[in-house]
Amino acid sequence: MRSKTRLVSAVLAITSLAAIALTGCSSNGSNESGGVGPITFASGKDLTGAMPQLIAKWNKLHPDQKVTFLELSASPDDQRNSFIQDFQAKSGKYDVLWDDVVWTSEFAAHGWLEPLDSAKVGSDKVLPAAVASATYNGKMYGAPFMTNAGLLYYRSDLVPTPPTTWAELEKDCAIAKANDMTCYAGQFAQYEGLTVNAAEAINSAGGSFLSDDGKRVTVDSPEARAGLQHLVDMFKNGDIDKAAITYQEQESANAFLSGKTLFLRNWPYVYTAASASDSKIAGKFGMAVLPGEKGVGVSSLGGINLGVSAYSKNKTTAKAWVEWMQSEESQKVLVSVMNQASVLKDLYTDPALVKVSPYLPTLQKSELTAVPRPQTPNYNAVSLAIQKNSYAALQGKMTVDQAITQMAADLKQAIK
Amino acid sequence: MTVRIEQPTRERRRAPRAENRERDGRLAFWLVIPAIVILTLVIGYPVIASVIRSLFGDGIGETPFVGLDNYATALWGTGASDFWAATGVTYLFAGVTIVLETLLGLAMALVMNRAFRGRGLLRASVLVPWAIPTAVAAVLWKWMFDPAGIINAVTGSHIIWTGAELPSITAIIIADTWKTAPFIGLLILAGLQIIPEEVYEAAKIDGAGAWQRFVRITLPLVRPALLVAVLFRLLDALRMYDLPAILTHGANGTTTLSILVVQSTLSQLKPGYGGALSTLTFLMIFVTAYLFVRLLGVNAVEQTGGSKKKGDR
Amino acid sequence: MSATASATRPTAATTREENQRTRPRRRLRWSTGGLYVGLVAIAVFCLIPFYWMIVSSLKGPKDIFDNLLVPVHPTLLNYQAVFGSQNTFTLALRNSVIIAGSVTVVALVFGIFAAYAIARLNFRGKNLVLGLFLATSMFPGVAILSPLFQLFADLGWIDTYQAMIIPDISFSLPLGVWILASFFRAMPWELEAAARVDGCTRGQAFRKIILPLAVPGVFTTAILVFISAWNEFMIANSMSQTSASQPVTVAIAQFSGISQYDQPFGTQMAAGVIVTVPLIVLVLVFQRRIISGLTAGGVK
Repeated sequence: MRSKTRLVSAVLAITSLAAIALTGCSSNGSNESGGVGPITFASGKDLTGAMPQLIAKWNKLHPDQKVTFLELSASPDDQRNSFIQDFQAKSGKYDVLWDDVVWTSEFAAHGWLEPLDSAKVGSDKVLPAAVASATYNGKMYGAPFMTNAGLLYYRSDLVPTPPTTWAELEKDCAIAKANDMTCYAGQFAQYEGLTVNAAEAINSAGGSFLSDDGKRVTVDSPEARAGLQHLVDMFKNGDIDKAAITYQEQESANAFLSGKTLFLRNWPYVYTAASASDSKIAGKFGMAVLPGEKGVGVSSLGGINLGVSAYSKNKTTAKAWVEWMQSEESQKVLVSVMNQASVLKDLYTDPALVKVSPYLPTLQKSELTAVPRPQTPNYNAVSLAIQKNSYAALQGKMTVDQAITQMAADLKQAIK
Repeated sequence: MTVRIEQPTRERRRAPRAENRERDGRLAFWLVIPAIVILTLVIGYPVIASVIRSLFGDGIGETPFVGLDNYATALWGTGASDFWAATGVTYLFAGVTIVLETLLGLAMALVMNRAFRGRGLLRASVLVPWAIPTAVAAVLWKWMFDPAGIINAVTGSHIIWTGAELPSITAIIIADTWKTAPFIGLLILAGLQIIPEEVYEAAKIDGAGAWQRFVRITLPLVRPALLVAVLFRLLDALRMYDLPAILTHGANGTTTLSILVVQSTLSQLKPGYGGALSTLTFLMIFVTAYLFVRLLGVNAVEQTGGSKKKGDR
Repeated sequence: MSATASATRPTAATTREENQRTRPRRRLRWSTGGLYVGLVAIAVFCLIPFYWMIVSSLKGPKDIFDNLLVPVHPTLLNYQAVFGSQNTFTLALRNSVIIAGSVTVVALVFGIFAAYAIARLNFRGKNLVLGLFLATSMFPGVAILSPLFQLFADLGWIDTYQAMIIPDISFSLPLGVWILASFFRAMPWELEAAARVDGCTRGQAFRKIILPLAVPGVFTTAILVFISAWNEFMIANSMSQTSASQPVTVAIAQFSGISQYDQPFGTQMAAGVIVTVPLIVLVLVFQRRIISGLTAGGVK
């Protein structure tokens, strides 16, 4: 009996030791810089089916530096987890990554991204907000590739000129009531979309969340309160449907597409469904810049930067490729075939592109004044702090004053 | 094949002689060791790694040894309000869903046990909720509970299910009960199979009514199976993650302990704090399971195969 | 726990006759009527959301939110989309079958061994082993994820079947061992002793007597393990990275709509139906095995 227990403990000990030893020896992870050769592009799900076309162009020009297109999940959270697992394993399996703008600071702060030449990927041909979103501690860690800004959709048959300030929008709400519609819809469920909407409201009123260096909390201000108050008031007086507290992009778009709401805040993608031949509102809607407190409002910046992994074995190729993806001809494919918004300023007024997407000039206006969400390594905690407190205020569980005060305290905790 | 002549034993339960025990012990060792090795490797090693990591801080680059600081933060420090709120909601979900699922599962098992036409179809349909992948089921319920969804349409209510605390909790409980009652039903059904028919026959002959047969025969004899089903269901319920994460994103006070752990470990890249949270979760689950087994009596464990405390069988 | 409670004989034949005359009719009506009400209630409870799932899978993108109980323009668009070029679903189905099947077989073998030892053999530390099996089910899944990923990455096992099979086995083993142990425990001892006296070795007694009697337990465990391995998501999501090894749960999670903000609800429901139907067929085929005819003939 005793010898048996001894045997058991021996087996257990050996197993655990073996396991620990195996993890101890990390196989690869040689950090040699430089290197020309084939690379892997770990991308989010390509919904347009056109990315392979773009990549094929490069592969034809550089047959010995082929880019392999690896499609990950469509869900941003899953993409992020895959990237982090790859970084932590230091495998260098992903050379170039599909970096959401809010992840760049986080990855850069952990030393997982390679700094890039800002003259090459951050020239003034690129939208300044996009450049800012790829910058951390003064250096650029991603090449802006795609961008996105929020727009105000409005029913042009009911509202001939779109509002430019909140006061005007609230006046137009009478039209909504007269037509038995709700006035405004956005994204207000407790998720990242709420951070975007709350940030737009607060930034449009002149408030901010963190100082530029990300080290101080600046949200505790009357401007921030005014911004959030605007949304809370619209919930209270029914201008925003009570059910909108569950809305994400899809639900809010549905509300607009089915004619239930007069105004909608959403990304440009809704244009396609709204102008489809079987859409209820085809030809009856317009897109404008978001309204603000005293003038034009500030949109949150979305988009994708292409990051080069610090563990990549072929960094030279990777860097050359991301620069190529930002070149005018690649960006033209991005806009015309993939229907996304370019990071190059000039491509918003090209007549051929505007014919396909008439909202491009409006989008450009929005992008020129857009503000990225707080740039900070612990972005998730920051976003959670913003979401939770805005949500509580919108539900009426906290007054705006309490919500902002609590948000400031939570933000302080988050950036520690 | 050698013919061994054993001394016939009159009592079934007399303990075997010493050398049989020795043989038993060695055989048992080899039978049990594969399972133990896998469990040690797959669960033991990560857990030990996680516990060790929880003694260190979280930060970019430097991770100093902080001892039990992470635990202190969770229990009474800055993370305390979130931690205790999550604990409360997790136990609320577990308690309510287990009671509902056990009652429903018992009813299902009793019905599945009978012979009637089409019972195969019924048994298969009872397993449907359990068979649908959790993620798909969660998306289904999410759209059913949408304010413009089918549940509101059919019942005529205007409840914003995922928009406030009580409706959210109710929605999650409904979805979870639907999904898991069949699991308990199946386990109880398995337990019902062990009860031989003669016991019922004898009771019927004695004049016991249906209810009496149920209370005096079925319930006591199905107790071991019930224990196993409810115990494992308890462990799963206290680790609930998928349903609240997909239905409500953990909003409106539905953040369970597992959601909190995922937030810290994966979303905020704080493996030290996350490790502390998950160790605390384990300790709470362990204590709960222990109390539960105690409550139901050690008898039931023995009936599953464990040995009595004093001496051997 | 003895399986043969003493069977008491009726005190008088007359009592039995009386019972049969006065009791049965009332009892029959209550129990049969109640049974059918119960049947319908249970079937409705279990199937209504599944019905909604099927209905939603038959609605095109325009009607998907119309809340009609019967689709006005039923279409197989969603099913086509599931197998369409953007989603590598057939491959995922094959992967799921391989993974879930392997997990079931291995978990059953290990589980039966361990359960037999716990239920029928005498050894020190039995409660400890039972407790260990239980304790391994007490950790939040995510606690196991990262270190395990690191370990498998170092072994070069990412994107392989074994990276998913091995963790899935350890998730199913504890429950399987407990279920099987209760079944083995309930087997009458005399059966085995009688077989041994007749000259069987332990192993033969096990194969020929115990195992057949424990068939309901074995099949119940097999069904539960298969279904839980088939539906496992978290581990599979981390360990599989390309469609070569992704099972259906991961494939469904990666379904995308027209834009990144569109949840392809119809397609997901269609995939859910496709993924659930084999499981239902499995249960239909094996459901008779999970009910035993455990008559006491073996003992007498």
